[in-house]
Amino acid sequence: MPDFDDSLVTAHHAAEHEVERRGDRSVGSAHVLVGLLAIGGVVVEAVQRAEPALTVTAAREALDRDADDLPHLERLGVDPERVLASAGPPSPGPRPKVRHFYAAEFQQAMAPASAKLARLRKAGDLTHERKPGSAVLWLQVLEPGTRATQLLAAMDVSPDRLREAVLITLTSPGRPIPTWPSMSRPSTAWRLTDAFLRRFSAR
Amino acid sequence: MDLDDVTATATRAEPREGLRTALALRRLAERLEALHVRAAREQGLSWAEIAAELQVTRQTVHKKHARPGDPR
Repeated sequence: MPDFDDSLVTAHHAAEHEVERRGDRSVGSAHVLVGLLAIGGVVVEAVQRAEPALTVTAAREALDRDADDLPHLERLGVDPERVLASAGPPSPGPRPKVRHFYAAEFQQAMAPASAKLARLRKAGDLTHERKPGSAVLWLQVLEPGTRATQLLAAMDVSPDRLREAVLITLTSPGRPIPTWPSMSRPSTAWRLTDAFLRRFSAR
Repeated sequence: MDLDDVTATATRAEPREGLRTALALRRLAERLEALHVRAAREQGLSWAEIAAELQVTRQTVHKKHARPGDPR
């Protein structure tokens, strides 16, 4: 197995903790976003410099009230709080057994984001990390179309600004911040990360 | 807003907005179902009774909502 930076492993565990806390059934990009914010570190400091409103508490709160769904429900005149209140308060106790597999919206973002990162590395725009770290996860979470980007938009946080902040942490000294490619094919870097991710999916 | 109004508003939407609205409703329905299943179990309903109300199989509802240690 390839080596991975501890931050990648820690972020995955934090994302799984979010899944279990909520009693959800799969790991989605929004769980990973909260997990990444929860573990802290250099990349989190960089994204919070770009978007100070993005705290772990704010992201968790946005996820828990499905902030990205609210405008769509409101358009129909549906008040989710009222709907859920009809069932009474949630009871304490253990949550349903969690099965660790990845939500489709996140799976679909993983390969393209990793391939784009590999393309930038190949072009010499980024530093060559010894091991893939949490920045890879950040770029996957921030790929257009994920639920995390929709939650961020609902929080008035720009995924593009966050991605730029992540790329700054990966950029070689003296080099300009590279433009994030629009499309790319899977690469070796992706296959290594994918091997790691599948270990979690298979559990 | 009654059900006819909801349906009319939903079907007037652009396709992308309509699909996104369907996703939002599905997530809300999932949360509502989880809360009611929990409440039903606490009030002593069996998995078979819950499954009958939700019009799914007992295996489906157990797989989806059972907690660690729950009897089958």
